[in-house]
Amino acid sequence: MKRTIIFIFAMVMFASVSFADGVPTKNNTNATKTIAAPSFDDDNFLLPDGYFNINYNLGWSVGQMNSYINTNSYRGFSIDGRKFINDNFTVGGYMSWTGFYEKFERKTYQVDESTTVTGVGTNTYYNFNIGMNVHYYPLKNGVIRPYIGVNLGPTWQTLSTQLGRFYIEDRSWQFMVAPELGVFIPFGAGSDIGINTGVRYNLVSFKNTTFGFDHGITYMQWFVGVTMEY
Amino acid sequence: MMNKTTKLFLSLLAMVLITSSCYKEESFYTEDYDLTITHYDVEFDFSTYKTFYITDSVGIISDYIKRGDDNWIAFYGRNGASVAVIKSVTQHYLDLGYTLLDSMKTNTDSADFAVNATMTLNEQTGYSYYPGYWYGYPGYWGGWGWGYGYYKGAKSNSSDAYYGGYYGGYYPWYGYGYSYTYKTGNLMLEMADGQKVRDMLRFLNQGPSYSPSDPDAPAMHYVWSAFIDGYQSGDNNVERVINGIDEAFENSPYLKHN
Repeated sequence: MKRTIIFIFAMVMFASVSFADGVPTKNNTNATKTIAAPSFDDDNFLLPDGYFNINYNLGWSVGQMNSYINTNSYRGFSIDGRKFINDNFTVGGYMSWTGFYEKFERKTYQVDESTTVTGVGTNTYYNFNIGMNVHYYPLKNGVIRPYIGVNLGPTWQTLSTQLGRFYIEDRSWQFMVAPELGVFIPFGAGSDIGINTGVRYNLVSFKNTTFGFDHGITYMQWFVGVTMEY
Repeated sequence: MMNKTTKLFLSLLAMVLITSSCYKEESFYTEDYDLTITHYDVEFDFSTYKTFYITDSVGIISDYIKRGDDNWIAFYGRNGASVAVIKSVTQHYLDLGYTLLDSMKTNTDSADFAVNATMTLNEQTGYSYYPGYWYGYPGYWGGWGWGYGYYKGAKSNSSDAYYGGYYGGYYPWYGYGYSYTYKTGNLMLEMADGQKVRDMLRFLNQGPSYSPSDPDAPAMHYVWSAFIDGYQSGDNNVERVINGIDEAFENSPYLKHN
């Protein structure tokens, strides 16, 4: 139940940031004041209120995660909404899902001096994240808008290891920090739709010696998707 | 600027396109569940053994096979698991350099160790919820129904297992529950010290009230054991068990008698 409440809260927060419309902003208040003689010397005139993004994520493990799963993750997506709080900064919310999976060939494991086990094993990792994001845009008036930012928030994750018929699993809430570097490329100078792409580093605070993690789960992601200005 | 509904619609459309093209997981076959485990007494010197005795057939522990039924007849038949297992295990010990005796104690010799084989064959019924593709969401609030989910039973390429499921919801993203049955098989091989086995037999021969679980019963000494575990499937079960026996001996090079 607690999870559901957190989740709904995040969705509401996320939706309100993404689709907020009725609130007066710097842009439209300026516009009403100068309605008789539109002034274009205001740098902010053409700036969007914010962005809404939807991305496909391709992941690969780094650090200790490498020894747990060493294959690419082809399953991942994220959506996020951002709103400008001044000329260069946005704040918003995000949501993402990632799945890693590796199947190991049949092989023999020496459990201890006296015991061996031979079998096919698999490791899986799934997480679902919700949280806040902050981004900085160094180029104020460029058509292409590079940015640097960070996503912060709780993550619900599942790790599992299977060998033969035996299966162990760990599910828990953790905290995730994911700094990212990306760029918005609009489909033409006047378009409010474009491509969003970049790389993201994900760090999940997690310690579990059974699964071989003592300083967090780490993976990189290349993200690419559609961005919409609003 | 587009209106918000159009944006939301486009976003959802994009999400569907992106996620539906995602990668499927690799298949996991019945054979992939096969496990071979070996265990031995690290203190023991196997070169002190020369002769062995092996039981003439494999014992059955089962919740669905009854003495004399079709499964039982097949198991002990000429092409059944019992004959194949005893033959394979015997050959492995002969290859390692040990000598086979007809009984625990012959007129001239006593078996240094005894080998016993027992197979546990059980039928199980499980109930599982198929969470759909997006397994891992908090609270499992759905998951779109594409692709492969997880369930911890046998995979459906087993002809013995059947999946009499029902769909819990009309929409594919609800996931659904189903019940299934599967059969497990586990072969246990035990290599016990011969003198300890004879002590036990002597103890048991004192009368019908004497049992191995008696606190006064002499302790057995198992120097090596192997477990071959898996799900039963259509027609290659015996072959898979024999592969498991081969693996067990391969993983136990210390068994070699010089």
